[in-house]
Amino acid sequence: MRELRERMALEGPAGLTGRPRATEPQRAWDLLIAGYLYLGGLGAGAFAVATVASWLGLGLGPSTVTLPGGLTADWAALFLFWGPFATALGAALLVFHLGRNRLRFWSAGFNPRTSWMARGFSILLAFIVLGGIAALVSVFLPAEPERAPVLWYALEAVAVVAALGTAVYTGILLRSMAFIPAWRSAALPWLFLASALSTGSMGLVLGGVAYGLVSGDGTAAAELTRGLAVVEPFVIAVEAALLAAYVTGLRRGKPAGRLSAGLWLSGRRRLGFWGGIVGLALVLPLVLVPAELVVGSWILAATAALSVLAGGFVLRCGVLAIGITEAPPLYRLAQLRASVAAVVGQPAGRAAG
Amino acid sequence: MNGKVILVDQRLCDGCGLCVAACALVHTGEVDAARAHIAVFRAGEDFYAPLTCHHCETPSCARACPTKACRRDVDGRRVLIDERACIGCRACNVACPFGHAHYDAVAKVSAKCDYCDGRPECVRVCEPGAVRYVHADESSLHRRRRVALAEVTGHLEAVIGKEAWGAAADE
Repeated sequence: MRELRERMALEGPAGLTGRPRATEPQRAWDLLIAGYLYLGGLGAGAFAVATVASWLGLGLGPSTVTLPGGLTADWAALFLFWGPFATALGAALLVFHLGRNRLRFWSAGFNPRTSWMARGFSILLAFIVLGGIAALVSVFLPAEPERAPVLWYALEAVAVVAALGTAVYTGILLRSMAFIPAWRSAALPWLFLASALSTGSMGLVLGGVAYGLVSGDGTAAAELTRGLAVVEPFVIAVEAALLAAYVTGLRRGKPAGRLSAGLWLSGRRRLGFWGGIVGLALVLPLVLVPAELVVGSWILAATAALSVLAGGFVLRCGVLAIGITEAPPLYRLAQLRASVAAVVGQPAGRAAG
Repeated sequence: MNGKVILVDQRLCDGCGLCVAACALVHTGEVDAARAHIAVFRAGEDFYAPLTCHHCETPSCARACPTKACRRDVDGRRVLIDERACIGCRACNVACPFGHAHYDAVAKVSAKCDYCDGRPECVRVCEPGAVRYVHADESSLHRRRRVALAEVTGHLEAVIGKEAWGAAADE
């Protein structure tokens, strides 16, 4: 017993036995969850934008190849409808993040009554399945949609709704954590939606550039890029406004929220915020995208796209990294006692007996 | 269970950390503070407080759990995590306002206080009596009595002087 006491007394000053202190950001959800949120939003945004673009007559190809067995495939569609697979990859990151029972991940939908993670399981599943079917049909059965156009449009429309739901859900999941003011913001789901659409359309631009380089046919890719580049600055402007509303809300909110905002604006996460989010996701593309429209250079388009994609990932990492739980009452009591002790000039310690 | 809850009197804690060691030992077989279900919060030079799960009426951890691995037990006194059903998503860790549900990096599941099935080890080893296991009704009564006593003590000390009150209290 004495040995134990001595050992713990030596380790004592570490405070909360190795767990984060009250004013430290959470560490339970880390890079893998950021990747899950990012790829979930990116894939959903890319699929929604690609589908709407195809309804408006923007697209790539068709570039058909004949597969063994007489099947024809439109491989150009791969560069457009990869969204559900990106989201599935994000879901795989989440599974990788799980603990020893990770193969029971399918049970994550068991508590939809109160858990947003369980609801998200269904939303993601719906998008991956419906979007995946639409993508596979577009690639491997490109002639089928013309046989039953109403059914096809209905499938696409439902998949787009599921995609938008997925993009918003990535923000709602964080918002459901009621005691972390930086995540509790009403602006967060919409910020993530705007970011999903922004990164998604720039992902498509990158896909278009890749298709142009691989196929040698740059005309269709240039047309798609131009169409997306016209809309992109508006999406980025909305994203910037939402980011400003989000940060302003944090600064005016609860103490832990103000701490979070401070970490971003002038604290140890400032490089990520100003360089990664403001610089890469907002300012640089706002310069490069209009320039690309004027010059028509695929290098500018690809640079802008990579910048937005990197900025979107930093946004998810940043939001997770500033998640500070509100200080529990005991912590506030300790602060109060320390303040009183500083005034009275006595130790803030425990009471006798 | 037996209708009892853990009651913490922060003022009695001397920060020895025995509760943490005993908890970790009982639940994991090793003295690893990061795996204990109780933590000792330290602020400043001489402020210690044992922190363990409050087994809330409306537990945020159970509400956030996607698999229902974390939920109230049958009689509703405890909030428990079934480690066979826990997938380790850490939603409960993030949802708990007090940071009590935590991820056991060795067992790779989330874990939290379970009152040691009615014989809490932290209570057994706490020599100053800062952590006690009392009936739920008694716990609120105890708190009210303690607050009232502190107020009365303060008033009497102010009125008749600290030494006189100390002598009277000793008698």
